[in-house]
Amino acid sequence: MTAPELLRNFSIIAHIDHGKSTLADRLLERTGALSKRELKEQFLDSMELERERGITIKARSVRLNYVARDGKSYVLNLIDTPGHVDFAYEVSRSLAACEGALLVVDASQGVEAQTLANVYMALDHGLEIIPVINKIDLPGADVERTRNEIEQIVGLDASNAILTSAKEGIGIDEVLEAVVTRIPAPPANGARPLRALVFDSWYDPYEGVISLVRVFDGELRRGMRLQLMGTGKRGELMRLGFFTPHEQPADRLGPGEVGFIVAGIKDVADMRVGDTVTDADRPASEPLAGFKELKPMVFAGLYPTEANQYTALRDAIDKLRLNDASLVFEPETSQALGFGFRAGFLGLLHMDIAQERLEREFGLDLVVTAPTVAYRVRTTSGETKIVDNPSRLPPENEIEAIEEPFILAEIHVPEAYLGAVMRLCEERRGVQRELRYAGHQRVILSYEMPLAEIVFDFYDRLKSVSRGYASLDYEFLDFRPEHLVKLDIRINGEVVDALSMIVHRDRAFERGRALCEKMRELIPRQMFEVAIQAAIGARIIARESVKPLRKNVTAKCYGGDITRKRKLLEKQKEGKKRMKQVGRVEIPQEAFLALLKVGE
Amino acid sequence: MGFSLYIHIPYCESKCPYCDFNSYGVSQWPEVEYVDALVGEMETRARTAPWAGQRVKTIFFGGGTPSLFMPASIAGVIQAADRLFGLVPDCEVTLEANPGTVDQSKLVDLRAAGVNRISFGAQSFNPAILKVLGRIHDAEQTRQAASMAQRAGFERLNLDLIFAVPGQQIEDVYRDIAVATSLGPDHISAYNLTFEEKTIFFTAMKRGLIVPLSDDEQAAMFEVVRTELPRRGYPMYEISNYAPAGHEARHNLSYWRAESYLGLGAGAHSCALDDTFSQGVRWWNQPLPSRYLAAVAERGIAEEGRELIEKRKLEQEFVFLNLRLRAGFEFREFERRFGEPFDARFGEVTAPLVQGGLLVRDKDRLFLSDRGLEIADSVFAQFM
Repeated sequence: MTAPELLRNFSIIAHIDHGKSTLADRLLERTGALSKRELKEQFLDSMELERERGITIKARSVRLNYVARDGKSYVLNLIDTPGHVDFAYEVSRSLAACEGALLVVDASQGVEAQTLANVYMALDHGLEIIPVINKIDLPGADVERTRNEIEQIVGLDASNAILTSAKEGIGIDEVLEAVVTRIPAPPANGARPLRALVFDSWYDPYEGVISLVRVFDGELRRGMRLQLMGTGKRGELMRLGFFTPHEQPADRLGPGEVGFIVAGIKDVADMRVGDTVTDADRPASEPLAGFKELKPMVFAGLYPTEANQYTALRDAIDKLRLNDASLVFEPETSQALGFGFRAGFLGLLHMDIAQERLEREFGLDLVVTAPTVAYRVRTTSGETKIVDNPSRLPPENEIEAIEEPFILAEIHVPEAYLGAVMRLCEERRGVQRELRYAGHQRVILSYEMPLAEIVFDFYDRLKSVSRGYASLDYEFLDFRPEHLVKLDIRINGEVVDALSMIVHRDRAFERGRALCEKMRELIPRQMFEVAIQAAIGARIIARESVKPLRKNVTAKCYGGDITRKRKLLEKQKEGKKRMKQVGRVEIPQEAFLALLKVGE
Repeated sequence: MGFSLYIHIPYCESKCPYCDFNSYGVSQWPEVEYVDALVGEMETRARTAPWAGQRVKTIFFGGGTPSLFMPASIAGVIQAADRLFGLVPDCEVTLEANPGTVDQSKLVDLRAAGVNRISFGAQSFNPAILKVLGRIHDAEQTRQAASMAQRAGFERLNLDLIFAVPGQQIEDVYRDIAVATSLGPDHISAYNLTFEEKTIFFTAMKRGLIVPLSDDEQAAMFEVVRTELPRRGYPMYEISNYAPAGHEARHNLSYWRAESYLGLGAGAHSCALDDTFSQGVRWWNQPLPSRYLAAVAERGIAEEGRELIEKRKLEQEFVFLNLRLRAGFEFREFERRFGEPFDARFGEVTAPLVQGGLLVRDKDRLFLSDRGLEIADSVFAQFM
């Protein structure tokens, strides 16, 4: 155990390419955590790669030992963070485990927008932020301009920013000194009942759930009985330790310390990010602030393109969920697509990652239906239902009202883009609740908005109208009755249930038209004409058609051509397998997501 | 029983930019060695199953440009076939010829050698189109060649046409048909130009240097071809082939009827079906002429690869090959071959295609509708 005054917990906030992993490598090297040889193998880079493949969206932490200029030996915990709004909550928990952060900015590129969301979040958590201007060795480096940008765009005092070149090893000691001298030590609350924050959890087939925790009060001792204050789950602390980055076992972790724990818990849903671990025999009275059980915001159907892959899909989702507590799913059937699952996700990126992992890691071929939010429907018989699949909406005459989930969006934006962002919010049926200036030319906007308006392309649009400088966070408010209608897509006259959606009445025509056009682009010409219609109930509001294939015939087919010809036909057939047969129409997978592609 | 014999002559004076056949543009060729190899290969096959004891029903000299060879060389191959297998009495013997490579005496000698059907690669009668196609002959040579062939005693004469060539207008298609039919052939093959991989045309297309006609234009030309030729006395009997009844190319019919064939020469394919049609074997020869010659000299054959075609694939091939024929096939022929009613195997696939107007079924047969012809490959893919 390390005395709290000798501990520093920090993370690195940086735009991609601004040198985060090189700086981390240098810190590991300078503190002797990794040998030069190991560094050559690019220890941290391999983790970056994992993340790029969408496998690790989780934070990691590394303990560094550092003898500072004051002669004392410090323990520095470097905590890594993921970076997308879908995972904003996980980022916030990682930051909550720190007292400070390094903001790394490339001296030749200046402040990039994507870092801002995390900086603002770190500021909200009261973290001490140390600006680091990196890559000062590059010919295009402009330290003063970068310093100005940090002050004007981020609103931080950059007069004492540290100048580094991680690549050349310049300024590394200064960074380590600043971590020690400028970031506060964690408070020493060793006598209180145990409270430790879970900021990452993953599943290991041998040990069950492994969690990364930050101890705030009390201490973790091997053999003690633990309780999760949020989920109520209990376990015995069988193993604990920390990463250097190699795994090191420990017997105890005291206040302020960061490490991993294994408590014989089998399901990541029982040991969720943000929950508080306490001593089951001497529990704390209050959990740490900020635990949210993440609720899926977006729902979509997952179907195998071939019916015989249903069981394989079920097993794959089961495995995926071992590591992803925020993924929920249940079986459903579609007339058009057969047997599949309705799955809930934190957002579209989360959905994309899940789809990609199912396809890549499990070799499945999937149709993903248009994502939707969950609506609350009051029926004429006085019932209330949650509908997360538009095709399950009760018949119109049984609906008293459809209520739509609303959220409170908080948007941080530099003043220059305020107008554009406000226009976007209003286009999306947003109602402003607050506009306040926070620091230098930085504005915080609050809007009440329908969730459905922001889960799809809002984040991308927000980034685009603000050149990437706006950041978004949101929380659920309530359900509100709105004028909503079910929009059906008919293919050759038949409603394809998997394509139905719930839209605001005022948007229905525009949506229907755009969707039909997109479907026409996405459905290839085939043997027969394909009629695409958008309809509200019996009323057709838009129509398009895909003209039949005009020509597809091999001119020559003699003795030497037959084998090749058969292979070509087999390939054509193979290509069709990636499509879903609806009636006699073959619909490519991406057409089911046409809704998301409108406007591309 | 009997089988069709294909002889491949892989040499050309120059390689046409659209051609993806196994052919090589050369200024000289080892004719004697090549004929020796053909005969050597034939001797090996004549000793082995399933060819031993079977007679030859048709011979087809394809290429390449078989008319580059001397009539005596062609005669040597025909005589070897007669000696080793025996030819049926009315054996059809076809030779492909480039109109620019024949003269009157050569045609007379070929006829005397036993060739009784000649096929000229006319392609077009429009000089601009012939130029695009990179042909070495001109339209006048085709007229001459046709008339010389008739004078040499070839009653059976085919002209090959190509349509949907970039730059071609629909009027050109009418004109080519008018000229071709005026020369009095008994058979016309009209091929829609395709851009095959590994051809100069394909590369040029990828680079945007040559742009294929639109699908609509190509389909319109195909429609002209398949209405205009029958109107002039050449009914369509296969997707690209037109002839009055009794004048069909019997050799090629055997491919479309999914029968056995023996191919000799560089890159030639063969297909041997067993008596019960429960399986078949297809193999192909070494395509490079030099390697082909070396292989035959060493082993008596030049097989490069082979595939086993199990019954299910044979059934598929039977369907997509026979459906190329205008008359399609008889259900009872399918059942006779495969011992299972057609509908038991393919009924479910067939019904929506019939209902959708792509296939026509009457009491006895199944065949493509006019619309089905245009997208035949899409229809065939349903059976795979």
